[in-house]
Amino acid sequence: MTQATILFADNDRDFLGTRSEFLEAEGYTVLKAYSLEEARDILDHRRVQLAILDIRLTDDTDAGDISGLELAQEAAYNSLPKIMLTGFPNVEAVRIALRPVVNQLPPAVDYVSKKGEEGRSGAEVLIEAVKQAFAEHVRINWDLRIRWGQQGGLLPPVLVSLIYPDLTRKRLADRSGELEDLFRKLFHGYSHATLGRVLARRQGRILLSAFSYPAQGPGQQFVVSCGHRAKVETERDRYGSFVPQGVGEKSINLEKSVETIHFGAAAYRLGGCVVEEALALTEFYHQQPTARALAVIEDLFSSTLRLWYERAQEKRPQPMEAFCREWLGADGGTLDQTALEKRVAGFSQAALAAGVVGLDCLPHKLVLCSSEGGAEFSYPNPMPYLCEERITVSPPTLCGITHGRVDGESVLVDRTGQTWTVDFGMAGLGPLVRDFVSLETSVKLDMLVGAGLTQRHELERRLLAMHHLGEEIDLEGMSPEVEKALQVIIRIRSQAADTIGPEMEPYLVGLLFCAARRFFDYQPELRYTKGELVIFAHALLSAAMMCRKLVSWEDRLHELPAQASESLWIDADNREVWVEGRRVTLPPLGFRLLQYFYDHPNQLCERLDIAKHVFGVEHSDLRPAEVELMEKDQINTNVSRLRKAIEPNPSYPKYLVTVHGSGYKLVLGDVNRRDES
Amino acid sequence: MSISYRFLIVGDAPDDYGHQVLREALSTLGSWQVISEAEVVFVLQAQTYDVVVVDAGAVKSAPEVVSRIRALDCNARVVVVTLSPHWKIARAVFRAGATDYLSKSLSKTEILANFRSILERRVAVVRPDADGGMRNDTGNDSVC
Repeated sequence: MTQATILFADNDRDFLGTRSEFLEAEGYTVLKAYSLEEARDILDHRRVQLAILDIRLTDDTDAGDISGLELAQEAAYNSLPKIMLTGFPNVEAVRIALRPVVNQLPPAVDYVSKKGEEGRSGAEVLIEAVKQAFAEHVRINWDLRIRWGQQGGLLPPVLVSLIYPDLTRKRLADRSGELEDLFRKLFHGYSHATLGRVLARRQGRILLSAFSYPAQGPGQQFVVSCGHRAKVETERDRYGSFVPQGVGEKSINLEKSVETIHFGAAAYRLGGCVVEEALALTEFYHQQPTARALAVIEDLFSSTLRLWYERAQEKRPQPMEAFCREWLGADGGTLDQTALEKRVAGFSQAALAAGVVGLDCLPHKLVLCSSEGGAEFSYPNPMPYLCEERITVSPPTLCGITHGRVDGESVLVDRTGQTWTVDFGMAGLGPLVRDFVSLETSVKLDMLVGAGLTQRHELERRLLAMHHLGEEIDLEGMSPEVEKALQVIIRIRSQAADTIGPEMEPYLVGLLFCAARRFFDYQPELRYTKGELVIFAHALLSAAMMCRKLVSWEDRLHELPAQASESLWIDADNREVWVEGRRVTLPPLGFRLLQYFYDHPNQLCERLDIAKHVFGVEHSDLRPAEVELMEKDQINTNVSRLRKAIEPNPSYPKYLVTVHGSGYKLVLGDVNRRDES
Repeated sequence: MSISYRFLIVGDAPDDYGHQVLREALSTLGSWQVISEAEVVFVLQAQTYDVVVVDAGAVKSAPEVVSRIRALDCNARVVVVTLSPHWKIARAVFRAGATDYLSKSLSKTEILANFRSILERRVAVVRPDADGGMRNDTGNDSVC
């Protein structure tokens, strides 16, 4: 058992030396610490599976010294099993050390007297406690045979480097040993385990396919999330709070989670998924024709994620932009304008040197001159807008439980085109639009390859010409790879229209922040390939183009009558509806219905008149039962949809109110009357 | 409106003044029932309680009683109370899965404070798992 390593901390050198010899004779490797600082240093940097801590670690003569016990209580080390050792045992210290804690180990798993007990020497008692702690709490499967990826491509140092890219060579060996312990804990009870391949790489965390085999019987397949302990714990907590759980096809179940001091791992089982054969969406997109990619988008949003969206939906008054800022901040993003402008300037130089793009960065304008044909694009610099919170076109949006980071890596697809989502680190409450814009951004920046900046600009231009999310667009003249990306994006937008409604504004705000977030990944101190620089240029260009569109709405709003920003106003010439400063997209029937009410402001509009003038049905043509059906099926349904679109809170309508037993009334306030006069 | 909790006291000690004070204090928090240690398995299989109070002075072995309760897959808080606390017994009851180990106080106020604290805390339940290790479950309000 040479791998079993114990930190033994005691300020009595002689005692520590002799007791350590007993433990070493039992096959344990003992790392000795003679002070609190040495103990902490070993815990922070060395591979340790158990700690034995003297309670009076600073001063044996001080009855008030409980520094060892305090060390045991520190959150940084709460995943490490510890044994408290003392020459002065007392009930209160036992309570502090051993009292159970939710979802984690207690500060200590055992409490041992240095003096021994019941005829056994102190050394004997300690050795027994250590053996018991290894069996019950450390639980490392020393006999497990692990295959670290194909041809050893996922050996512990490789994985550690993916999780902790900045680790020094000196620390790599210990941290690699700790990661090996993690997998030996995760697959406790199995005889063999194989790591498949890396499915996704996140900041401080990776997702792997993994397979475990008991001594007898069939193997199991998992998707394992492993990385910084805190990040894996957050993901596990979000899984528990937000991910729809169940049984059968498409179910996602957390099988087991384990921790070491620095790492955490959680093994998820995907119902009905042959993990070995499943592809990440990006791979599937590249390998399969457009029609299959479109079918997968359909399955993802109308089946897999539908289970998420069906829960806890509400139209929140909080503007879309506020959520977006939370996303940027949530993952270490920064909105420091000076830093961002430096980043843009650094990028500008790198892109020019690589011959990707000429970028002229002015305080409020970006001029991009593509190397392909010298086309020049001028757009607002998105950085001041992102920092100054000037985007006022930020309508309330449908909120619910979202996956939070749907992209080419977090969606798995099997041979039949069925989808599963993995990676729950960003799952939570928020605008449903988030998942759609996240995937659209991934299509543009991860899946679309081989397209130059001019083609990417054209793709964005055509997408920005859409008036509502369900609209088809012209694909003529695009290269096959861009056309494929466009078709997939149109399908994503069509699914978004079905789920959250056809309005473009919240979608564009989401896209702006997704693109900005991708650009923020650019680090001026690193060198990038030309292809990578094109992607960063696309992200920046995309953000700038979204900005121009949103600003044009913002500017437009300033030119509109007061009721467009303060109340409800219909621009009959452009067939546009504005409610309290946001442009509302309505389907043709919805627009006709609202126009009818708008033409009769503050007046009772009876159901029969609505049927006649909006739906073209004459009362005399109908039998009483048909009238009732008409009212129920058409008028009520369409009024309800209209309220969802125009009312800040559809449950308590302030514009379109019901006149019980008669019909409806569109209530317009003083602002509208002032304008009419 | 305050929540009324259900307590099960294991080990009867009618002549013990501390036991009487304990019952009076628990009455403030809800209802209680006293049983002998021989009845503990049967009662917990049939009824649910928020807290099982094991009186160490009125049972043969408090750690053994706690073990028997945890073996039932019972998620109730298990609190051991004693007139003569000792660190070895404390260690043994915690290792058996107890939520807390309290000195039997003669002060109703102190008892109430201790039990309120235990009831307010989300508690973990430690019990052996299928392949020999110890499992630390999330405690909640669901009980036996």
